[in-house]
Amino acid sequence: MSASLAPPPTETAMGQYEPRPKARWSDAYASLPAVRNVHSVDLDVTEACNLACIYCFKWQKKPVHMDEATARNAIDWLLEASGDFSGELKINFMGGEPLLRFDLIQKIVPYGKCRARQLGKNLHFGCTTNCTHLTDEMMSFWRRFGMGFHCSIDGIPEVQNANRPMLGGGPSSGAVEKNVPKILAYRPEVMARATVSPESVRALPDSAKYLAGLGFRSMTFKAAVNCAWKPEDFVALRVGYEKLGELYLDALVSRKPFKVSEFAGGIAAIHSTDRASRFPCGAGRGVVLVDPRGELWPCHRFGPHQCAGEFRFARMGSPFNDRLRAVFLQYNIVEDAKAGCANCPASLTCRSWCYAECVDSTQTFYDPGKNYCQAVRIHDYLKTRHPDLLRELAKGDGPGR
Amino acid sequence: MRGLTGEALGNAAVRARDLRCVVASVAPPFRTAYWPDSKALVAQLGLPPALADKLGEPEGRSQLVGALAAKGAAGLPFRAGGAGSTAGPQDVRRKEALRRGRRSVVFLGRCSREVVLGALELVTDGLAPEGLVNVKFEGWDALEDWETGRECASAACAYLIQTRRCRCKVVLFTELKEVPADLWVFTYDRPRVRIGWAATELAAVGEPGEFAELRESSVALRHIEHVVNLGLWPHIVLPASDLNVRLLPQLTSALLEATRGGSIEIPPLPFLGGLGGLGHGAGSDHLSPGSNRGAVRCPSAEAYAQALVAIYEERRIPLRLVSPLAWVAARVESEVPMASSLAAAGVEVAVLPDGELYAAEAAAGLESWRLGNVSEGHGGIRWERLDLMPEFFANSVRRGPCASCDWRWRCGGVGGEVVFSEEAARLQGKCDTGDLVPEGGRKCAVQGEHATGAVEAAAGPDGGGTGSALFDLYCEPRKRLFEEMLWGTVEAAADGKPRQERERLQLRQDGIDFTPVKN
Repeated sequence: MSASLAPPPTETAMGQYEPRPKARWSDAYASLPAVRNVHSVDLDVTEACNLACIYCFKWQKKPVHMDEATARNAIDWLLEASGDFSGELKINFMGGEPLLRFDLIQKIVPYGKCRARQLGKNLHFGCTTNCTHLTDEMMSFWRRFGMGFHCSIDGIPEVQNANRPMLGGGPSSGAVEKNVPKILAYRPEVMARATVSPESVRALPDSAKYLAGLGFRSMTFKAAVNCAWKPEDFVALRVGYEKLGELYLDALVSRKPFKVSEFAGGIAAIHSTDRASRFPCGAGRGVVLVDPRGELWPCHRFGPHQCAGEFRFARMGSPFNDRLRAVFLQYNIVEDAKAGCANCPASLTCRSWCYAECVDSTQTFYDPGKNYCQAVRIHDYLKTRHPDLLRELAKGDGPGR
Repeated sequence: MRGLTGEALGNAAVRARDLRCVVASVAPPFRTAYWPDSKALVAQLGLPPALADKLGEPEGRSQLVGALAAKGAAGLPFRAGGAGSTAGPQDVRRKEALRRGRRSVVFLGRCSREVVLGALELVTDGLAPEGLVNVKFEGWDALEDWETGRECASAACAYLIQTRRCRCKVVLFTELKEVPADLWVFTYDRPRVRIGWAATELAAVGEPGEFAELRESSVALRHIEHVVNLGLWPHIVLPASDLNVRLLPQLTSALLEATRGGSIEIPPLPFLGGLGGLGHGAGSDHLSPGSNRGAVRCPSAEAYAQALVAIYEERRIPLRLVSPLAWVAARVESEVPMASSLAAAGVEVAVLPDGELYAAEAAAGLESWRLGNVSEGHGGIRWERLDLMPEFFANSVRRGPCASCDWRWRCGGVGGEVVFSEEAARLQGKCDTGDLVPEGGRKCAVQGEHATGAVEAAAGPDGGGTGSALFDLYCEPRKRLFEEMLWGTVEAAADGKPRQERERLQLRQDGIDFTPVKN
């Protein structure tokens, strides 16, 4: 597959996308995979968004909304495609901004909960939101059904307003500051997911303190590798992560509820044999994206914008592409890794790369590109250079506990 | 082509179709051997190679069957079965295994909480911990009288949960005139509860356009969509009639779409039992589609069988959702012989509102199959009536038409809806069917006209005088489906797609019967 990836689609190719007829229930059953172990579905309930983030990978935004029948099909598909999987099934509303489709969410959550209960399964709903469109009615609905949140927020107001402006260009930080306390009052452990761009990398420690001040106990900072990073930006990233590591260490020693997932997860990975995996993530194996058109993809990072739909598992109603899924199921980071990994200092702790970023950066399935590796090596360096962190971890009360 | 069956080939049956040949045992253990390529078959039998191209012709078939008979099953890659071909202790063991694994209770009418709990206690006695319990409330509209329906369902669920009967379902039958506001909350707290709907109004749908009109005008169809949108899987009983029998595949597809995968049961009209008009003794009037159409009648066995085969051939319909297709698919793939199709073999009991207990839903009102009263407790129940059943079903597959049927051990003989309905009809003097049931003080106060009427019609000159229309309605479709499913697996294997067909027949992930998740 790595050698045969098609070039990115042109505008014309995207414009030729044909609308689907109304979804039927039997479509979901016609598209079941041969290996039924899917446990999570990312549901793109809309591609519309009220923000215009500078790094958004859904670069060609069209206000395509998911219809009710497709959403119900996605739930039925998951219940079938999960087979005998006995753990908790998850549906995560994504977008666009999923809360723009609260009308749809209100209909399908009770539906999914009830269907799963009747099958003896446990179905959990979550939502990745930019926190700007939250109402009290939504909060009471979330409470009623025990749903989760995942907050996309970049940090201090200057960074937030520059990276994630409203669609009309206005600031978004005010709305976020107003709504975040509602979410944290409901679920104090909700994670803040911040994207670090070359423009905002120098404010990383301030952003972490700001998010902690808003009440977030858990946060993660991911570099937007599809931006134009310069060598001095990586130096700034490294400095920023070092300061973040010190903040984390201080919190750990003083027993404050403050977790940075890069460090918590990374350090745990060093010490745990269980976490060793030949897969970078669950994409394509346990996780599948259903887009607003009712098409199935390996994860939310894939879509028609990538390689002209070469990574599409199926359209609801057509047979599932089990050969493509086999690439994900049989993926082996040890055997398939690129040659450069052999000498990489991060090779022992790197949990490999994001499939979609590989395709974005190098048009292959196994090479994530220079920016990604650079960011991972900084993480790795910081993970292994803090012996105090490791000592704390050895006490049995380590990060993330 | 049905060549030879039974003893001529050492308990094996030979079938040939489209140049392919299958040899299958008729008694357990079930084995099948087939040759997708006719050349391989004629080579193995030592026949001239040229015959491979002539197997479709009568002469070729004749030579093939003759060679198979001469060679015998022992010379084929097929192990002929012997066990189960003699009546005896294994029948009793099978019956006991059946009774340990599954129980059903049908409450016919508004039963009090005491009757529900008393009956459940009696029925679940002796059931294995992982055994399946099916509870049905029929004979009244449980959603219209929601106070009673909720109390009955709550009592049943509470009892089953407290006794750790995790594998259970409770079906509340309704006419769907209204849907209670708290139905979602109620069923979310009690996920074993299902809503059942006897779609008698669909028995009169004779044209495709009529169903579209009905979807607009029918309150029940609108309500069933509302119930589905709440996330509930309804159970629909779609009666097959002379009017709708040609449309059954389309109706089934449409209902599956409308219910988003609800289960559908397609009995012929006489087997509707207590569901016709949701009341026993309601007669056939309630099935009248209107003054311009006349009364709806029972379909012919042939038309009904053809409709079920057409449903089987529609690949987009999951077999597990449609009965009796799921019933046949579960048995055609089974390695275990069927103890009995007669639900009353100690597995299913019916309870009337006054606590009277009968051996099966179809036997309700037949004095000879009255087991006792719930209020009498275990001591007062005549369980010995049920213990007669294994003897009965062992005989039923050895005499009459069943004795020469290739599928008798996978089928288990005819079901209670035939046996008891025929007995009821005979008691009413409607016809003279064979006396399969032991004598006793018999009377029938409950059976509906629509069941006995069909028997009467079949016994008359127009029905061929066989006296067993219900037998044909029960037997013919099942035999056809057994045949079709057998050939389906053979043809799928020949096309290199055995997995898809096997998955269809394995009825994966039943939407109702499940193992609870450990959280």
